[in-house]
Formats: sequence, structure tokens, C-alpha cells
Amino acid sequence: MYGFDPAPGDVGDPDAPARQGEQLVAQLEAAQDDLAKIVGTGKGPSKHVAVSVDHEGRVLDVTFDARAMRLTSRDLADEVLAAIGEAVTDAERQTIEMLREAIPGYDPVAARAELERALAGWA
Amino acid sequence: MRPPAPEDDAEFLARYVERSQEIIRGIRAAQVAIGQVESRAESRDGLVEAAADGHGRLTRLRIDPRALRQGERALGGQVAAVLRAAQEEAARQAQEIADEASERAGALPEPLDETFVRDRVEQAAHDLLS
Repeated sequence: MYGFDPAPGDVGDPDAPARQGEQLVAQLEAAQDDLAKIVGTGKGPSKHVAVSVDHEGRVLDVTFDARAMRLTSRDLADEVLAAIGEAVTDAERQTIEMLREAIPGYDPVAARAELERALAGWA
Repeated sequence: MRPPAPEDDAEFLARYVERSQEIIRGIRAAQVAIGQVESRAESRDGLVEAAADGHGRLTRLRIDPRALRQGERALGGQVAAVLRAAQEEAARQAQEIADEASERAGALPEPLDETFVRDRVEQAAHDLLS
């Protein structure tokens, strides 16, 4: 449930979800430092524009090489946005991989989908 | 919402569910509102402008041709600063919406616990034995 596969011994144990929740919080706190170190990188289609973002998609750095300055300003802006898209995808991939490794049995993608379904079914 | 008297259990439960649904609707409304956030930022000289949505996604970037005169290194720093400013302002607005929704969610009364069940069992035993 919420991204977890229950351990075989937990089925039918009423305290298992609470225990699992506490364990998840502890593991997430331990993973914070590693999450903060994630840097996603991306380039624009011309490869003359590079961007890096953190695990939340916040822009860290934008780098243009000399050839990028030959592009029109509009193309340059589009290149930056495309590079950001690639960098964010890279950071998301790293974040998911890191959480899957740090928290055995936890799938952040499935957890989010289940939460969305639960919210949709309630109101 | 006070814990119910035995005869009001059904009504209490119905009101509890209704308030829970209101809160969930509030959370969904907050999700929509966060999705509609659009925050803008621009450089001091006005030559670089960006916008971000409530999820921190950058939705627009405009670079004036005159901005290219400053060279690639300075322009990179300027563009990064404007993009970050748009994201930070969007995050602030989204946080405000999320905080309001959390405050409303905090208004839900504590769930009934084992003392409620014990009280009911004792009440039933008392009724049966008296």
C-alpha cells in the first residue's frame, strides 16, 4: 500500500502499517543528505547550452558556450527551456533510483499514483 | 466535534465523514490552485524574464537580443538568477496555498480511539446487567 509491498510476515498484523510508517520516516530522514546531493544535467538540442538542477528541479547553473551566442535570443531561450526539461528528467530519475535503493520495498512512483487515486476516490 | 453519546453514534460518524470529505475537497482545490500559480521574475535591466508554475516548472523564458551583448558567462549567470527567482516566488505562493489547506485539515477532530470502544463496551455491559 502507498508504494509498499507488505512483508510476508506482516499480513494480518494490525500494527504493521504504523511500524512501516515510522520506519519510512526514519529512512526518508536518512536519505535527505543524499537527496540534497543530486544534480540533474541537461543540454539543449544544439548542445551549446547546458543546465543543472537540484532534486527539486531548482536551477543551479546555466552555461552557454561561445557558439550559443550565435543563436537568436529566441532560439537561445528555447534551448535553455529544453535543457531544463532534460535536466529535470535526469534529476527525477536519480531521485527515484536513490529512494528505491535507500528504502527497500518502497516505490515512490507507485506511492504517488496510489495517493492520487485515494484523493480522487474520497471527495 | 465532541465524542458522541451512544444514541448519536451514527450522526457523529456521518458528520465526521462529511468533514473529512470537505477537507479532501480542500486539498484537491489546493492542488488545482497550485497548478494555476504563475510567478514572473526579471533581471534588473529587464532584458531577461521568466515564469514558473506552482510546481516549480519553468513555463517561459524571454531573452532580449541586447542581453547577448554581455557575453556568454555573464548572460548564463543572469539567466540562471532570473529562472531561480521565478521558481522561488512560485514555491512561496504554492507553500502559502498548501499551508492554508493544512490548517483547514488540522481542524478535523481526533479520531475516536480505544477509550471510545472501551466506554461503549462498558456501557453495553452496564445496560445488559442492570
